[in-house]
Amino acid sequence: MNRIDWTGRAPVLLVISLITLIGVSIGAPGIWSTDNLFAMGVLAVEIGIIALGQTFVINTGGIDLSVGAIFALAQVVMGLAMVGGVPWPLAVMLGLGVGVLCGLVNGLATVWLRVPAIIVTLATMFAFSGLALVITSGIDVSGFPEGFAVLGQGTIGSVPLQIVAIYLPLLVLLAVVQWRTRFGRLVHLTGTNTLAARLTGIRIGRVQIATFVIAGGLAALAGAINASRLTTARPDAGATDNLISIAIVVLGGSSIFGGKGSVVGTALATLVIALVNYGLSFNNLNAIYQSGLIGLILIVAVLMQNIMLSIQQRRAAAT
Amino acid sequence: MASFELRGVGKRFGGVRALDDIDIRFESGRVHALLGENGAGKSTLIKILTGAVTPTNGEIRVDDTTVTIDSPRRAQELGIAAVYQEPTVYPHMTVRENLFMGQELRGRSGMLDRRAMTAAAKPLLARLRLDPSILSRRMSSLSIGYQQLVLITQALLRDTRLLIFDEPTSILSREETARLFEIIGELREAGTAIVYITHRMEEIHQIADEVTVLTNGERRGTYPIAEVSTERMLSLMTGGHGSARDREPASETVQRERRPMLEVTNLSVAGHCEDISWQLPAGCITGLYGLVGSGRSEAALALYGHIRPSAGRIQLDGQTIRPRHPADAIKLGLGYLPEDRQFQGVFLDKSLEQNLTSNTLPGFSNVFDLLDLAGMRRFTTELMNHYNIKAPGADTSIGDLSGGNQQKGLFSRWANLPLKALILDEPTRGIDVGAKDEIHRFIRHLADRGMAVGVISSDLDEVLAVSDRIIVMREGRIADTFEHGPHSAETVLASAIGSADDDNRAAHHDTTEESA
Repeated sequence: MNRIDWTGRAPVLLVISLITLIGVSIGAPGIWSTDNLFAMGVLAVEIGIIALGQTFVINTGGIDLSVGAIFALAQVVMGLAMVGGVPWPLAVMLGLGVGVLCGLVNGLATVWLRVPAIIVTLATMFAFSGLALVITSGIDVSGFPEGFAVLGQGTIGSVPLQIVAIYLPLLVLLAVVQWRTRFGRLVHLTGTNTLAARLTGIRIGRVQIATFVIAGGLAALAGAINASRLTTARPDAGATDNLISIAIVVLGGSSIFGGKGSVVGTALATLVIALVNYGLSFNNLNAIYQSGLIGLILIVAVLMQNIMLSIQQRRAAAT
Repeated sequence: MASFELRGVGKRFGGVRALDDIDIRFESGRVHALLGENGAGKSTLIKILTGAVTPTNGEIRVDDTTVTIDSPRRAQELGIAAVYQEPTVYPHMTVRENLFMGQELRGRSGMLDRRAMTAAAKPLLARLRLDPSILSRRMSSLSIGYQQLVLITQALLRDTRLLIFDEPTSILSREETARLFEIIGELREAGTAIVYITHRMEEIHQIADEVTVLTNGERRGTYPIAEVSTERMLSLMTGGHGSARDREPASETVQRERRPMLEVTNLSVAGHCEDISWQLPAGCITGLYGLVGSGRSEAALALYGHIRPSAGRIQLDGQTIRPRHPADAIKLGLGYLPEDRQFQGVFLDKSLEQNLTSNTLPGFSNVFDLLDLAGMRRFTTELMNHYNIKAPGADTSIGDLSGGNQQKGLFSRWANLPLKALILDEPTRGIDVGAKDEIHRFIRHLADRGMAVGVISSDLDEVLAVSDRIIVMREGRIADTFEHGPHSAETVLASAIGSADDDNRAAHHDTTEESA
């Protein structure tokens, strides 16, 4: 009943992580210091949070191409607010509000106008990042109050704050939401069969809107951490996150058609991508290889899963 | 004379024996009916003949030479083809493209030779009395009945000598069925060997020359059709358990209390039904009979808030209601079990538990939205016991169950809600006799509890067997209402096809080619 719905991707992910681990260890034995691991974690947290939100959208059968743009818009809004004298906690709330609002726009447009999510969010991706550029005139925002630095640079003990105080609690919370709450059930039922869900009396529109709101809010949260870590809010930040977040969710075992997937799978996939990225840069491999490698991993993971599935089926069919 | 013979053919899936040493022989010019409940081994048999699975043991002989059928392609070469219950077609492509899929005719330059394809298809279309203009139409613009005919044409194009029909009539209207039977008759005359699989007893005597009954993967016997009665076939199939026709009449107290629970006045749904008025009395089963395309389902979906009616008034328990979403309707006490189990009903990959609790989740969640998982598990197990849903456990994915068990699951989802009125759309379509019987009993229990039940069905036997009163719809209008049974099949059917009607609208049925 509560089995994690990894649908065969978990073993594949573990194998890939292992291969990456071995590769990285051989190429750069020095990588296994706690400092390096934390640095890697810090990089992974931001895209990881975005991917968690994306998981919910994709599990209902939707897709959100605008999360990277929300990530940018939210951070420049908070940046401008702080520069304008708004206390930083309030500015962060404002930024999160912007994220939620963006998600609401995506959700309402998808549900009310009955336009496919991929079209709606393609449009809002341009709109949101355009808006971020307009309100900043395309210039980075910096000069934040000192307190704001805690989100992206703070530590608890020696562990970066955003790993233990933000990402991990969030992951646990969302895992509970996914497996133990009514909302989590509705997300998967809607994603499995939208028509059946509606005829069963599920208000699928509300479920879909809620997932976009979650994705928007989480993208804004990631934006806050990013701006805090870099002490700069950039209107052009997160341009690649739109698609990488989708790649992570799919790599993590979610079906792109909805109804299948888990945030834990997404977290595992985030780890794999972070290992690859960090391992490559640690080995002084040019960053241009990174995106190619992510694509390769995605394909290999899906292929491996398909092969395993067909082996299973053949075994079930034989004798 | 072509012959196709299985000798001692068996198939095991893991530890499960799907087919056990079957001997069976199909001959050209004969219609051989295969009869059996779901899980009796009929589909495994077809899969073996069409090369989808290879048998574990035994011998297949075609024209008295041993062959192996290890791929669908090989089956095609041997002249074996199957037409399935729900036609597998490429909906966005034309009929011509569908017909010649994979074996397109090409001209000298390698380009597709449409003229040659048209020429090749024309005589076959004529045999099936299809207009040649159909070739350029998209598959999706044809009704399912016509799609089936296209698949038969395709089989003929490929020189099929053994044609298997897998429950072809379960989604056809009466007219479409009659035409299909004529065509099958002609194919038989022309020397094709035909295997005909069905649940419907009455069809077997109409069409088959011989019948083989399968139960649990074993052959119970093969009989010339003249020598076996419907009762005999039923008892062979069910292993001798009760007949499908017993039913308890509504108890007298309930009979007296029949006040209208759901009342529809002048309901119209643009393009589907017009000016419909009927009512479902409490404690009573009302059969809503009409041929496919008569607007029955659309009327129900409009009541249920899934689509917008263009006019009309709906009253539930004396109150005028206007649900804008199925969730509203359920809250008001009105339920609807959809017609298409796979696409509108079940969540295929999901567990029985997730399926059965899908419309009762609010009852299992607390203020934090957290679910009472233990309670849900208990609830699911109770439903499974009460409605005799056979599954290894509550975690079993509903897609792994037989059609009958899926349908019982779907039914239980509705039967357990505190509803005032429930409309069941084709509640037993395509399921085996045993499960059908059970569901009919469950429906009776609902009515006995005081619920107003409507049963939409294109299965006349079902409507007659289960209903206290019958409303007949024809072409989007109410044709007749039959109160206080029993009613004869002839009068109800006559009303549905309009043969008893003076203005003779029945002629319109010839144009049902356009899908609704």
